[in-house]
Amino acid sequence: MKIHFDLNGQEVEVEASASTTLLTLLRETLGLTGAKPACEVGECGACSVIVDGRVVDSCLMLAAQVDGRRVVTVEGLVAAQDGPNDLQQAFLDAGAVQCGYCTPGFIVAAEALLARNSNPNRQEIRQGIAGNLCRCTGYHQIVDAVEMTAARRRGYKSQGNRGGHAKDALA
Amino acid sequence: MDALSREATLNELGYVRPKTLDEALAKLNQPDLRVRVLAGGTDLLRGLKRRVNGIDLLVDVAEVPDLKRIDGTGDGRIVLGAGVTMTEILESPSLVERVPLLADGCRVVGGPQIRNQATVGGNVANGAACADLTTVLVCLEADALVVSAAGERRIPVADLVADLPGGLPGGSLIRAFEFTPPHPAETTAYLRLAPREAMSIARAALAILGGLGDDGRVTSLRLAWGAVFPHPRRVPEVETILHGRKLEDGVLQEAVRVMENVFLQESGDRWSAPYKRNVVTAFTERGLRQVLGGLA
Repeated sequence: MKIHFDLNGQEVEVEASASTTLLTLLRETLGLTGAKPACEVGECGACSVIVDGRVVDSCLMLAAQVDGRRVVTVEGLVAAQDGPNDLQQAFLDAGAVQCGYCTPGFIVAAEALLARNSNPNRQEIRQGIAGNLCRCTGYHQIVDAVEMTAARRRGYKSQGNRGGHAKDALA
Repeated sequence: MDALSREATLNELGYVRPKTLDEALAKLNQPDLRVRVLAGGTDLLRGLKRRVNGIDLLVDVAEVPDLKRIDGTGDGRIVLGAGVTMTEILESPSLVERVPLLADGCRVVGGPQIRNQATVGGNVANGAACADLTTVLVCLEADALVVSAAGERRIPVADLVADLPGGLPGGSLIRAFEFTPPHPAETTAYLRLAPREAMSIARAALAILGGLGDDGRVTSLRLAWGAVFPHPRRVPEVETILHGRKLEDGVLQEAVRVMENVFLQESGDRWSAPYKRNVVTAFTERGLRQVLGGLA
């Protein structure tokens, strides 16, 4: 089947079987290997991507499910000069990267958190990355990097919270 | 088996994403095909990868507007669309304020990635004994509004999950859940044991609601257990003991013993029973104090 979606700001149209996961489509068909296969059952977050503003495990989504949606992968999170963005640089500065396999997933989850909460406390950061496993760092450096980035970004801009998708008549 | 070859074993299957409830029901109502509803997919895809489902066609209900609604009824009940995600529940200030028990149940499911995808309807329809939202909905005495081409039926969630091992009736799906929010004078709590705070399936959970009259006597009490019985369910024996009485130590201990006996009768020969027995008695005492005693 044909799948048409916005990938990192570019319209793409690809052919995939209905049983192809989003992770496989990104890596095998589109050549974007930032999202990593690891547990493939939604336990580790290494395959995290952002779909319509929300972080999801791309191993637990079918490619067909993103037809008509907006997908951002770690490859789409770059600075203007195509280098690491401020969060990615903060991961390096804070020593939040060791083997690096989980890092793209953490970057994506942290960006999704910061897009909704520009001033998270450490507990909120921990909750924001609770769906991602890291076997090397012990997490403290990752929390440091996210905290540092949030503080720096608040220095020059503020972002509001995004709304949900549910139609909430009680609100 | 490495990860990629595991993916390669996915069945060849069909996929449709209907835009209306009628269209979804038409797609579901194909007796010659093995059709399944795809809601968030966080449980379904795990099964697909293990090749256990044997599915021909997935009907993705993500864009069926009827399933995404959060509404009130004229008589103060809440209608929660089955396709509403855990995150969307947590981002609804009115739901979080009026039904904190629901938010308590959502907050502990998986991590952000799972809560962004997983739906309340999927949590129930998946039929797991440990399903947090099912346990909460049973405590809230919620009805499932189950639709098929023949029309809509109202089935108490407690009854629905007792029958779920046979699956939802062919060609049907859960449109929404309807329940009365707890009275402001009632207190609720969700007690849950799991290996860690995130990404852990409940080993035992208790959703509890209680209210006291002006004289301090119990006027309402509901205990719903998850991961303790073959499916989430209430224990009316315990509720009956306390009804109309004050939560004094003797009554409390009597309720705890009754709960322990019910548990041992139903689960006593399972390998986890000696441990869970202690969890169940501790949760019973703690939960009752929390919602009836103000003593936590």
